Amino acid sequence: MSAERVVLIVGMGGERDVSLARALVEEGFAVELLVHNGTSAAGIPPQVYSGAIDLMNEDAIRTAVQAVAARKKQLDSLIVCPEFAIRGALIDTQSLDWDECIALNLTSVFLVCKHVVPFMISQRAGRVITLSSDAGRMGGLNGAAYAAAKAGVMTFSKALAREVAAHGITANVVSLGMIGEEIRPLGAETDLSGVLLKRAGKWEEVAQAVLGLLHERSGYLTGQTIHVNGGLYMP
Amino acid sequence: MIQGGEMGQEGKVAIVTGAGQGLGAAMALRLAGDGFRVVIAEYNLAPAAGVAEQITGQGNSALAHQTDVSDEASVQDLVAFTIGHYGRVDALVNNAGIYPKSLIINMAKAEWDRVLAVNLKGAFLCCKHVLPSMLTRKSGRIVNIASGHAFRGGAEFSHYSASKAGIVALTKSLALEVASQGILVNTLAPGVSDTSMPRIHTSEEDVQSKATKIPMGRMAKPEEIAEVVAYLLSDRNTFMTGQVVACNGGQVMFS
Repeated sequence: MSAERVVLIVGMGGERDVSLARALVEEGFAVELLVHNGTSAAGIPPQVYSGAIDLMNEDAIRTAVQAVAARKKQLDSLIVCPEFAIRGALIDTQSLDWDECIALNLTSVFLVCKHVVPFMISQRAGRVITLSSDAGRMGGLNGAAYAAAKAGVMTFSKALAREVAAHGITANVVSLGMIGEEIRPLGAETDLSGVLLKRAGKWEEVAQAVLGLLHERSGYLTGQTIHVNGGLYMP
Repeated sequence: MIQGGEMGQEGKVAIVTGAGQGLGAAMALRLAGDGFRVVIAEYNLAPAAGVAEQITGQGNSALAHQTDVSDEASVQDLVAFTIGHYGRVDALVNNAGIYPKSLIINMAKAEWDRVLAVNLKGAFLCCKHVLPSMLTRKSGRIVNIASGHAFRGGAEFSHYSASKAGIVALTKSLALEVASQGILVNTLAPGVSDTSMPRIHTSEEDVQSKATKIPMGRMAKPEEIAEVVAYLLSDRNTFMTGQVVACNGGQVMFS
């Protein structure tokens, strides 16, 4: 294995991925980005290699992941951050919308991990970080499907942590409160009044939490969820 | 003869899914004893009919319905059947669930999808379709059955664990939505119960050995789980909603 630390980010290609990629490049990581139904993201640093992935299709996920592994020869860390929100009362939620929400937010995490983890197992090392949302713990008013998917991700990561610990792999979750300019209602909170720090978080602040988990001295953290929410929710 | 008892629910109607055996059957029997008219929803009709017969044999009222909770049309049929025969739905227990075992790296997507569809989507669909009846009367009680796995994440049970974690979040979300409408929604997280479920993947010898390690030294009797469900669905529960109630002999103590 080379000294280069390779991080694969799998996401939607928005500000979240860009902030993560920038922070990781600054820290000296070699960053690969796979964008759902896209090929790149505006503002991605030039050093980042980016490509497409279809998070709803297992064959596409397997192919995209294998291409990264073949090119880089190693995969030290995985950051998986799908994001797809639907809103509406449970009684009005359509079956197909439910399915899409679960597939994109939760099943995609399972599939990406399923196809990345074998590479980490052969390396006998790896860090998996999944991004989730505090809606998963607070419950989502008019967001039951989203809350259910995000809660599923948090517990999936714990099960993953148990399965891969013997292979030298850790798995953790960074769970987000209200981040960025678009303040999406979270649980029963619809504005910033429940946030102790009285502001939305910045994507750079989320990236710092992720970097903390990727630090070489963070190897004893596994099965955990770090909540980045300005005090909105305290488990 | 309706016993009524402390939690007399004469006239009220409950649907219990996955009630052909195990905890579901125990819940159905207990609710019927408390005065509910019960619809036993089961993927397999024969065991459901058996439980219904047991209930009617005791002088109470029950019907069986063959239901695939992952199929919206089937759930709509279940609710239409219930309202057609009993006129209303007052209570729902989302107990139907499947429990296969696979490592993540070996798991077929079809298995993952099936577990999420039955265990989680099934609960969503049943809630969605009983709500209109409850909203009409601004009254209702729902219990969603989860598991300790919802919180700890079980190795080789990542799909089951994720589905149960989803149940907990679904409960909280729906509880928030309907709190002002007199509908209370809670999660029950049983530990290990003395039914067929712990024996699916574990030998009898290991089941008995593991049971001794539970602080109370044994598995739950199904009736003990049914007791807690009966309270949560009764008129005695007037202010508890969105909660997780764990009934596990001290095996896990949630913060």
